[in-house]
Amino acid sequence: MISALSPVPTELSLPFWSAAKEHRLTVQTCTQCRKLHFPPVPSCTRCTSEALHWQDVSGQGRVITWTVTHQSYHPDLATPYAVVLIELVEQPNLLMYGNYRGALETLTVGTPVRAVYEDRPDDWTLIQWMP
Amino acid sequence: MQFDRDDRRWWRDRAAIVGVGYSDISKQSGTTTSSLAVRAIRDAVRDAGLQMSDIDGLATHQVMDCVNMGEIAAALGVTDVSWFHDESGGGAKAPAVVAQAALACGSGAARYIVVYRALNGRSGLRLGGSGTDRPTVSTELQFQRPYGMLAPAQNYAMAAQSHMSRYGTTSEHLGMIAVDQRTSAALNPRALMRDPITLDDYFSSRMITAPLRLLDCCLESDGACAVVITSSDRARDLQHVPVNISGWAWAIGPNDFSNSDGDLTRSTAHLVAPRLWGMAGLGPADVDVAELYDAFTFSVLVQLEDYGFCGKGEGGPMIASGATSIRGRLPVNTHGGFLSEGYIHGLNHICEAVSQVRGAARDRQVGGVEVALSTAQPGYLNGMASAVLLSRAS
Repeated sequence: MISALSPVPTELSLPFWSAAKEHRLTVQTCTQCRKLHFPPVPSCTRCTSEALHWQDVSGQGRVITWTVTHQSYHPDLATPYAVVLIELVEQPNLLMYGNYRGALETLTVGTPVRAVYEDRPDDWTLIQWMP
Repeated sequence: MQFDRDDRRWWRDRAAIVGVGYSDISKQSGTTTSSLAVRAIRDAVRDAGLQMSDIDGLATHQVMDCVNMGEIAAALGVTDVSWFHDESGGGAKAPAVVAQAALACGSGAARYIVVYRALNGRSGLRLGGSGTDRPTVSTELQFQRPYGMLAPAQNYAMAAQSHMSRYGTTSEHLGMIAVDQRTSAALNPRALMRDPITLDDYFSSRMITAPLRLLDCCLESDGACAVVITSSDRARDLQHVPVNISGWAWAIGPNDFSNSDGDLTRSTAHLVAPRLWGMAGLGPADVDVAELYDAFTFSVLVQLEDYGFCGKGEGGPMIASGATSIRGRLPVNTHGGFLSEGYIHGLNHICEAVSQVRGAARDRQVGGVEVALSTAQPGYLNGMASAVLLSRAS
């Protein structure tokens, strides 16, 4: 048995998924040292502060790497599809996974991308990436 | 050498592997993980020339895919195990658990420890993302799974793509790993896949997740392996030439998401390597065979670089040169590895390393093996890795 693909938010991550439904891209920011964190963390990995709040970011990034998946890993996935690893412009190594919504031929390391919001029938909104 | 708690070289060659055992490796064991474990354990104890009553320690690792250790002790009929270690985890763990057992035997905490791994990895819980959820609940997976990023093959594919983009590594390089390992497996009666393959076969195998094709991916298999470990002093009185545990190392390094250093072309193995070589007083040039964790072909390539067998970015050319084939300068995965022998999660690599050091690997024996490396996953996906270095007792 395989469970649904929908996000399964935790207490830590619910603000991210709630913001996505409002078409905002948001990540945790440390109020002490300003380091940005994604996925969310319980305390700042740089200065140890627990004073973290969610702050919207630009949704601009670049492609670090990708894979085009042909194997059917889940009945709800139409193949092939491209998974990309994106580095957000706001901070080095601030990474997000998502699907690439441009033409596959345009996928190269460094391709600039922007976040787009996909409202899903399961009532979640996913962040996807367009060149 | 005087004991110094800050110098791990003291532990060099303090413990040895004195027995190896297997159940059958198959795609459908038709039996329980307990039965598989008991077969492999009894085989290893017999190989060591010991009785079950000599065994006072048990160790394993699992991802909730094997019955618990107490049940296996019961199935073995042992009623007084005085040391145990039951580690949660998969690809990072086999060498680490062997190292724990080496520490226990070297320190006197236990006399004879059996390390085993048993799984119905094809007929039971499949780790590759086919048919079931990944067994480990991860904080990060909720930000990957909704996008269809849910199989380890995809993590390795993205690392391989990164390596191709930066260093010009090619699909031919990856394909040669699969071809070479199949050549070795053809010499291994235990191997599940023994029919030789060519690069053409590789390129006609279906794409799983680019750049990885079917023949880049390990098998899913049912089976068990076990090794018996004791102090090097005790090992000298047993029937086989002792295979000393000369070095071990663990590391948790950067992962491929929340704790990334932004470079997927370099794995945690680069942190394991200097500790391993330093403890053993040996280096890459001393290694005669390398049994490298090969859930996917790329794993082999990146470890050749990160353990220092070649420079960064030179893994592909090294493979293309034939150096890592069974007749090459550094034979890699002489049993066929996960790609062709079967997937017993890394303990089968250690068993093969022991056979090679003993000179007991029959048709696939490499000449004059003194030192063998056996590794865990290089770090993808969670940043964890480990390795052991084995050598023939003088």
